[in-house]
Amino acid sequence: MFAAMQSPPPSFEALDTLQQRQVISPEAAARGRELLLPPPKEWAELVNRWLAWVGGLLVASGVIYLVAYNWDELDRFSQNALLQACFVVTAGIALWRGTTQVAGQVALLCASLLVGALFALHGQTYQTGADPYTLFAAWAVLLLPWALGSGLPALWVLISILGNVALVLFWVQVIQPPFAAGGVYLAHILCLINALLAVAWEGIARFRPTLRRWPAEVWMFGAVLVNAFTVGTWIVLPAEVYHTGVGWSLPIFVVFQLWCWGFGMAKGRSLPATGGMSLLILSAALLGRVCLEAVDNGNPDILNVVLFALSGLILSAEIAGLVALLRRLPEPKV
Amino acid sequence: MTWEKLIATLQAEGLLSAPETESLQSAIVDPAIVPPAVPWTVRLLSAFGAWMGSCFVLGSVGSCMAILGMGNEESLFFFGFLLMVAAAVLNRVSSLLFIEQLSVAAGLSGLMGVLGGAEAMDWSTQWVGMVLGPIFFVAVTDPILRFASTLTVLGSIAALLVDAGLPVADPLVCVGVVGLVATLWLPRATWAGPLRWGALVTAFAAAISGHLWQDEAGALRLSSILAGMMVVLLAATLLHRYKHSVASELGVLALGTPVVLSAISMGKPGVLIAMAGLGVAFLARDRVMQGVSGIGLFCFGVFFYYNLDFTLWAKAGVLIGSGLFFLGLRAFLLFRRWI
Repeated sequence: MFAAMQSPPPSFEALDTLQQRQVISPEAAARGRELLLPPPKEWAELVNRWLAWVGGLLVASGVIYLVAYNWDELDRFSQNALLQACFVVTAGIALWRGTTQVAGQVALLCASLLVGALFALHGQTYQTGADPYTLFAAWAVLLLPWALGSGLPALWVLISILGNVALVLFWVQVIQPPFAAGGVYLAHILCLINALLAVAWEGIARFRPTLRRWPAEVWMFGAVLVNAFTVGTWIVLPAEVYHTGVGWSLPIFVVFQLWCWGFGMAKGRSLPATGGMSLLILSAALLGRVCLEAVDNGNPDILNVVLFALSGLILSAEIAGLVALLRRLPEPKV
Repeated sequence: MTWEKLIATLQAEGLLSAPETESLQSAIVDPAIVPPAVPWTVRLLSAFGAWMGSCFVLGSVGSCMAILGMGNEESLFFFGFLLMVAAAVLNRVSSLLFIEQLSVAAGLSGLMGVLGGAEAMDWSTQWVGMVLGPIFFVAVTDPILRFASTLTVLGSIAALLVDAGLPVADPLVCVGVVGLVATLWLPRATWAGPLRWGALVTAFAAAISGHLWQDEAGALRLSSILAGMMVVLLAATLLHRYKHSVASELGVLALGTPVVLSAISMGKPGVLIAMAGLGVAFLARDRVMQGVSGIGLFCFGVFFYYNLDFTLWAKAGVLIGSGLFFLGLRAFLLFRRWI
């Protein structure tokens, strides 16, 4: 299951060490450092990408700003016409240039943002009375065909953010759970959804090796944050505050770990690393709880010394074990 | 660039003899000489665990002091110093992963202990940090500990400025941004990484604090000018390295753009710091720093536009106008086949 450890690509640090250990001469190291500098073509790509993204997003946000903050100065027709014209232009550019080129990618993302602005404008103009969560949900659903057609990772991440926001608003505005643990349930659902998204993305990447992997990392880190929050809260805060429904945290945590490690082993380091991170947070919270209780109970100081020192040792051993395991996994593509 | 290509090029240029090639080929697969690449997810995990572990070590030290009945101040300083020494020794003598992590936890808690102890004894924490930081930086090999040492020194400078009643944000941004660009000329790449990160974090933090808490308009004027100069220096360095004339059209454009940006964003150096961070990260092949600088550019850009003292109509116009300017610049560069 584990791939063999590969030597990393050359780096400035590696050349430094090789020179210090007299494996290569200072002249060879200096020339190696020159060869490692990004070639002019890479700079050109960087400048091209940044100018397109910064320029495109500034124009799109300027248009949204214009409509949002100049409500009284612009009549309904002008507001709609302005946004729709921008929408048609950006969507047209995306169609014309295609999403393999940076101009097309920027245009598609700007058009996606303008869809939301149009929804907001429609809601404000006609006072539909719909809950705000419907705006985000409908926005996310409408973007799905574009995301499916283009496969643009940034668009998938935008859809997932919109979906998460819609769910949170739905939970707060419609379900309105009366008990304290409502937030914990929501955190579980968000964690599972984001983890599922990451797993699905990794699954698709198996059939499409050219697919960029970073969205899976973003989702898994989102999942690990909410997961760590719930499990950590469960351990650290007094039980009476969070007892309701928090019992679900542990089984969900176990399933989450199985996902992280089970799927990640074959695919790369990012999923197990996120699983490892949540494991580490859980351990730190558990150990912290034990140590704080020992201090609160007025145990003899020597026990506290041992407990704290032991906790530090356990955490160090855990990190070492996790890092050693993760280093043996294949290098992920980003 | 792969090792194979690098070795082939060096051989072709006569910089590697046959025995040197052989020893190089065996060295690059030796993890003790060329450690395996560690992705950012694993580095984050390792750093997070180290900080957590150091809290427990500090807890243990505190309990130990209580047993020994020592005055908290002296013993905290003493134990902290011992931990720093232990961390440096462990860091140098063992390549075992567990010992490595333990030394990081001990080193971080040692640093915190020494500074806390110095503070409690009414010593000058700033001078203790400024003296011990560089020594610890050289003594250890771990990048997390070196990064912590860098932050200790820069934090001490900030504290000295506060004590002297001087402005903090402006000089600290200057130190951070100059340090960031200066790391490109450091002879040791293993030192450059932690220093680079320490400088960037300091410059960003100082710029944010300056923006948030300095109500005097233009309080960060000096750092805006200096950040602009650093971006110009970076651009000039790049032109030199890629053998373009400074007087050429591309040279004028590359050097003129940061000057214009510096003038426009006078008093708000965040965008220029992020630009410098992007440039340095790209040259140093640091992908994580590229990401962080990109996020910084976005956030400082949003902040810059949000705080413009214009009417809302004008602000929308500025947003669209500057967006069109960047798109136009890109179109021009594409037309000239420069990008």
